[in-house]
Amino acid sequence: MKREITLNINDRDETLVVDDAETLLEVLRDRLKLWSVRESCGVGACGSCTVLLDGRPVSACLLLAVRSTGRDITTLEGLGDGQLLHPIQEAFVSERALQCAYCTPGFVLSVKALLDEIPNPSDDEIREYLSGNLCRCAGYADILRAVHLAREKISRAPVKPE
Amino acid sequence: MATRDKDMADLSVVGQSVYRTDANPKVTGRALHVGNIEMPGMLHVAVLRSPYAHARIKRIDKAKAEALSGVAVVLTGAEIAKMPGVDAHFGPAFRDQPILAVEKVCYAGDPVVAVAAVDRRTAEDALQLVEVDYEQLPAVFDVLEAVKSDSPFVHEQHRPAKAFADLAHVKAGRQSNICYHFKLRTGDVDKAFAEADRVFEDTFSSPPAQHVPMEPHVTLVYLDEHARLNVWTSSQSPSYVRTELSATFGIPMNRIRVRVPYIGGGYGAKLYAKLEPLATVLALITRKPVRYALTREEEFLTITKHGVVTKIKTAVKNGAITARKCEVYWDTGAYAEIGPRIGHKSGYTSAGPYRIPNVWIDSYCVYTNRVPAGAFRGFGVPQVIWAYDSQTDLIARALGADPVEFRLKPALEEGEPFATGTLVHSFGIKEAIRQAAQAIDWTKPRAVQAGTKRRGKGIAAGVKAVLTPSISGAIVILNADGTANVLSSTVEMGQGSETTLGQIVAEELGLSVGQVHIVQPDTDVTPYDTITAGSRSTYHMGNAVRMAAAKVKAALCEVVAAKLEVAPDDLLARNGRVCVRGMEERGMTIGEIFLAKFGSLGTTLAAEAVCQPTAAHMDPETGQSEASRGGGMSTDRRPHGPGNRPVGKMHGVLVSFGHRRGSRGRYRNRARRSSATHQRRRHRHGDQSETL
Amino acid sequence: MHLGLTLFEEMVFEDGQLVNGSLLDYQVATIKDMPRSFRSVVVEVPHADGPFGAKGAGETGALTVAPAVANAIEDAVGVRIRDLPITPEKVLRALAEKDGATLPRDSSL
Repeated sequence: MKREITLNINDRDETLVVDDAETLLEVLRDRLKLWSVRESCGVGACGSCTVLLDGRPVSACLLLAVRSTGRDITTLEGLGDGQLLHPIQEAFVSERALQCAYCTPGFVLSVKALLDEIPNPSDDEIREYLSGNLCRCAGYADILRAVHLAREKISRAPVKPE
Repeated sequence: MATRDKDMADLSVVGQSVYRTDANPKVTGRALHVGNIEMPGMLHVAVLRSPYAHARIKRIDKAKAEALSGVAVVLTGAEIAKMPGVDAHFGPAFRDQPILAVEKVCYAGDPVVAVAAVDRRTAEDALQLVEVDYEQLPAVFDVLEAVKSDSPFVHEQHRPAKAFADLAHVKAGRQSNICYHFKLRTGDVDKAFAEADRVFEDTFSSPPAQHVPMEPHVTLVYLDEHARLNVWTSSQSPSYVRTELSATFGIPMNRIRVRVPYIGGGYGAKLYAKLEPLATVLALITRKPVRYALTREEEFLTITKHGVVTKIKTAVKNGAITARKCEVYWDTGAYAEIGPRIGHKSGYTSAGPYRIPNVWIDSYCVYTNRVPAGAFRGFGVPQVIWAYDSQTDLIARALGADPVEFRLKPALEEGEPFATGTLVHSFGIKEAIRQAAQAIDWTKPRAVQAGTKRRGKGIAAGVKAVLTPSISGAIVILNADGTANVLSSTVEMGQGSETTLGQIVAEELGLSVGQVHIVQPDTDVTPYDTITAGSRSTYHMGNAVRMAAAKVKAALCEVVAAKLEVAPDDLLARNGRVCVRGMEERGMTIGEIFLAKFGSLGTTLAAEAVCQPTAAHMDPETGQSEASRGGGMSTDRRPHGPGNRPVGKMHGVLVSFGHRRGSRGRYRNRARRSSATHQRRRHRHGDQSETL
Repeated sequence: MHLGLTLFEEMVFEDGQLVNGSLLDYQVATIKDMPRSFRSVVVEVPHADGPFGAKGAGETGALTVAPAVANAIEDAVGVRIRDLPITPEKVLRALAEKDGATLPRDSSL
């Protein structure tokens, strides 16, 4: 069945008609052309299609679009101000924590959620939190270092007035 | 082809730590991938695959599928075989792989029927309406069974492809599942075994595995306004794809354009032709753009790492290895793909990087009714090292020798002959073994271990050459503003080739890395390159871009030498200028040189170069064809600075591991996830590295 | 990658049918599988006719992981594994056999 829904994506409301069977991944990629969201395994096992749903990382390939209404959806396109790199992205660049980088958008968003939830994570907490994201180039050691650098960058950043 | 080496102390870009030049598009998710490219009216492909490992196709009924709304075409292999001028089979070593199965299927997962439709769901729905009747045939799944004379044959005959110079000696054959046999005979093995103090005989095996590139294979094909074939594909070998499509469809090469943007990992899975022939035939029939993207499940049914069984027998006399006899059986699956090249290039290394006077190698590439196998991170070499350096260690321990010393003694020195007779150079393996041992405190006495946890140390050594003979061409275009464009068919798949090649060109022309743009592979524009694989790009393409840049620099120096009345050899390129060595204030900017040479800033200065290490004599029996110079061994050399070495790729030369006895590893827990949230963080392996 | 290939990656076929052909069933290494500590050592040997002495290093780190692990296991507990991957079950069976015992084949370890 088709129905009209409104999704809040990267702080913008998008109203569109979707089929009940359409996944959030299909809507984000095929309809809205948010190419940072990537299909890889289709079964929620790799984290390539990670987006933030009310700040929590989810696999967009397992979530139906119609079940995503009324939530804040963030893709990598919505991270930062669109001009400068976010400190997490800066850290991934400085630590060379990307190679083919197909997994990178998912990792960056998972790290965002991690640092929002645990501002000062231990290695174990990082490993635990990021274990749903696969990097086949196996740059895990670099990613681990990038998380620590991102944490430092964020903690040094001036606090924005509320 | 040798280029004069600069004094290393002079280097200003190479050897420095620079950021990846592709970092920004990648970290923002804006990098172009084939899956992001859409064309008006684009069709999507779904493929019906064989449920049987070996079966004759008796009947295909596709009428209902064709009648489904939104379906453009439903295609079978029999129909492709009837298309005039089209070869229904393709492959880099043998033309044995059908675009869609013709008459019979050879593995469970073999593509049988393809549908192109307005969207993927419609194409998949149409597949449900196709009926296929099969008659099952005897099949063979075990590589050692497959070599027996009474085994079922996967193919009735073997048809060589003649696409690569190093595979030109591959022979036609029939009545066997062995499609390629590499032999090496050095010294007198039988005599050495007869005279040995001890003989060690072991069998080692490694299973098929999948590359799992995070981006599954994807290809988009369309005909442009000149009806030329345009192909966007996630491939590690754009030049080869063009050659293959030309041979398969009889299309002139200049009417085929293959482009490759960034690809999301390859590891060997994306070499040679994969989805391109089927996407092409569907585009030719429908005259519409066709996107063919594999699902993850299809990826597993498309290409694998070779499963290998190695029988290795080693003679020891007076504490030294005197002979080694290796039988290596490569399970290449239903279609040979690049198996013969792997059987050859890895087969000849299967006695190890050691001085062994008597060596006997038989390396067999064998068809079975399993998923086709190809190259995988090391081109087969990890499988042979698994055998020979497990055994080398086992022998050392059995003899009561120190495993490090036992390897160091026979490890080849610079300039010594390898088992093939090729002299090794820039080898460094002894130093690599020593430093690896030092890094894990090899000589430090082991602590007394209490409780159920045991800690051990292990070391292994191996050798791999770069792929030769092979060819890389490049064009360097210098702009009047001192920036450069580099035309190269090397695929950036994560290894950092754009950065490395940029550093080399920047060094040669005296520019900064940021002033050099590497153009992505486009067969209309970028010259031929054999493949992006086998650790060959830094050497081959690196030399090609450097030589092309050197030609451009020579043209610049000619102008400056005339103007300043100095010898060209006294000039050097630095900071966007060409100046006099030792008097760097005397010189000209690139803009000034362009004005002097062309009278205008609106032009460019371009040069082409080809790197093709010359092959020594090819022996068709042993297949020995190694270039006398041109192999990279197990050590590294610039231009990777300390920070931009291929991260992740250097890790693992040695691994020492904790080991706990008797604990139960959580192994292969197949619990399915029921929710989309990251409650799913994987626990499947638990702490595999601790609870072995 | 090669740590995964050493410890658990394997395509399992039954009568020619792949039975673990999805990422739910086929295991690849995650960040949790990465060793707690490891170091890369780069031994630089210039390539006489490589560009500025360079040569490729893409595959070298991957080549020897499996035998290094197997050799470390023998060093630790005295059993030799000859077929990859080196799963906990194989090590446990080898340990039992070394002690003269055998483990039931169908046990779900």
